Amino acid sequence: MQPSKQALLVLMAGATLGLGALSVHAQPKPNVTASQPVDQTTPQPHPPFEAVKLADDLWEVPGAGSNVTILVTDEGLALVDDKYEYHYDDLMKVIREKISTKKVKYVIDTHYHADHSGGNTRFRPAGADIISSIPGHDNTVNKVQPGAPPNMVPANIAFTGEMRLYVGGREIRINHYGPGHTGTDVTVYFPHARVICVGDLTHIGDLARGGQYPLIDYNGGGSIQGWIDRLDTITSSTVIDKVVPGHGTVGTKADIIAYRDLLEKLRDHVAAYLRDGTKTEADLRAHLVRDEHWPDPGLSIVRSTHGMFMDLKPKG
Amino acid sequence: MHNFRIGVVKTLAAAVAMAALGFGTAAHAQQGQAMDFAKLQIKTTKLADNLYVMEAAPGVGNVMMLTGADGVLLIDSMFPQLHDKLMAAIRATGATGPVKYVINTHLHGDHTAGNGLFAKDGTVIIAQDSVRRRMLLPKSELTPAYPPENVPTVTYNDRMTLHFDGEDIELIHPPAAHTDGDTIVYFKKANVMHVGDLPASFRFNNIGVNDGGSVDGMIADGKLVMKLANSQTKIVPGHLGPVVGFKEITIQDTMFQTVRDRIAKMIKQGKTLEQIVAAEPTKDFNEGRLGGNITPARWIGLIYTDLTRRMKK
Repeated sequence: MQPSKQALLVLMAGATLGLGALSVHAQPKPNVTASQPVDQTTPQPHPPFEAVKLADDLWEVPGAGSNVTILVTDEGLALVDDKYEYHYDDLMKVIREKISTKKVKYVIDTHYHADHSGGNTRFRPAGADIISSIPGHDNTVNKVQPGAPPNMVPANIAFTGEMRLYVGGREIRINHYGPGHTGTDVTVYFPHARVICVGDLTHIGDLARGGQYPLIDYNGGGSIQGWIDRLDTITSSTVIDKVVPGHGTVGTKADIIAYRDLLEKLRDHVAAYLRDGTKTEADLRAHLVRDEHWPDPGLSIVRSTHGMFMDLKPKG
Repeated sequence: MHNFRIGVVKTLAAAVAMAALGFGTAAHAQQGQAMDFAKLQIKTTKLADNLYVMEAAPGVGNVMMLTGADGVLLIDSMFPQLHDKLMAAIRATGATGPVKYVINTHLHGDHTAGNGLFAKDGTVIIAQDSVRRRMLLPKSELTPAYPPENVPTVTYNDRMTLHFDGEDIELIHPPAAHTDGDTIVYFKKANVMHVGDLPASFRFNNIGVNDGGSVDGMIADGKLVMKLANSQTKIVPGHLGPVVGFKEITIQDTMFQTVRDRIAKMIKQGKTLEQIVAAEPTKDFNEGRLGGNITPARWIGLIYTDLTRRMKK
């Protein structure tokens, strides 16, 4: 399938934003405009993957799909996120050539979107244990994500609250928080290196390119207030030297706080806009596009508007 | 009679100390002492197409096995001395896959001492947080040393689900009862539940009073099991078995409440442990429950320890 020029532009924007996860498959679903980007199963060209060292035993493979973080131990590798399925061969190539030849023991999905968990389809049959939140498992099984590849593989180990892995003498803390970017988000913390992977709970370095238009996946259990609360919890409870976001560049705790403030500003802005009780959902959408310059059509405007309207309109 | 009483009192100090240590199923059983493993045979009972219970002896935690295309999953791991027999029992069912996971229902050695030999072969050991935390506590009078190779490497604090061999397996962490790291394992499709050492076995159930357990927790979780399960659920107890139902749990629940109330009353009357043991508050429940590691005197000691500690607070 050859995408139209317009669709391609949107696709590129979406990919930059890491929003490709929610793009629409050939069959548009209700609630999503037909002008949304093409399917997520057709491989898109990307620059060669690179390996970036974060600590002695901690690496990152940034770039297309999602950022992947890799802990290297004698017992095997633990990955945080695994990009799209079609990135598997290229991802494994850079891991094998630049990082380690050990087996992949664990893959942790920060959330259920296909740009973060699509690789499960290959990693699970290869013998890795796939870990996600219980809502993350359930959303994948129930195919909540519009346009997701049809063959996505859910986690085989799922949890709520906190779980920990002890591998090769290292500890990995995985926390599920409830509603945020989605209802499935987990963070992955490496205490020895004070590195936290936050998935799409924080965008770093791509704000100018669209990270300021948050995708709040209400259908998948997301919530703008929940998201703000999650980030407060993370920054107040964790000693953090480095933050690996789902997309964009590695940052620090200050980047989480900056993104939290951006969300709060958006929440207050939308609530103020809706305060007099006369505005419709269509008004809000038009306002965000016209006055706040949200890309339209774009995944954020499509996925976030209805939920924010229902969430933030005057009650009673 | 007089001599008997003296005998009771003499052994009581030791019994209470041992009970307080969780001796019956922790330190003692952990080392596998006083058990002639060579003589033990493993009895396997099929509960569903791909689910089995393996029983070795009343003092050895019952193992459950799930088998299928993904491999083998076990609940609890017996003792290293029984490893070869357990593996033989697993293979005798026709299960050929690797043992991928062992889920521990709690930390005590009669359920976890076999972990290490599985972990050595790549099996992932899963348990509630507290199991790992307590296993790694420095050795003291109250905390027997657990070999590091038996310590779980995947832990959860709230809920966990595994999806394996076509089953959906729920790990439920109930409020502290036998210990504060108990896990109930529910095989949803097969409607089979392993409840570890929650009060489902027809005996004087050990209470891990030094591992966060309590008599009130045991009573509450017995009732919880009957809420989580339904009347069709096959409930596998940690000992004896292979399967019990609500009837057996209710019988244990009645015993727990009755004996707890009797002991609480006597404590309030200012009676000493020796006097309480001598009053035989378990007497009408002894039939069929004698002969295990936990004698009536030790069981009374556990409840006494738990209740008096809480009264002090």
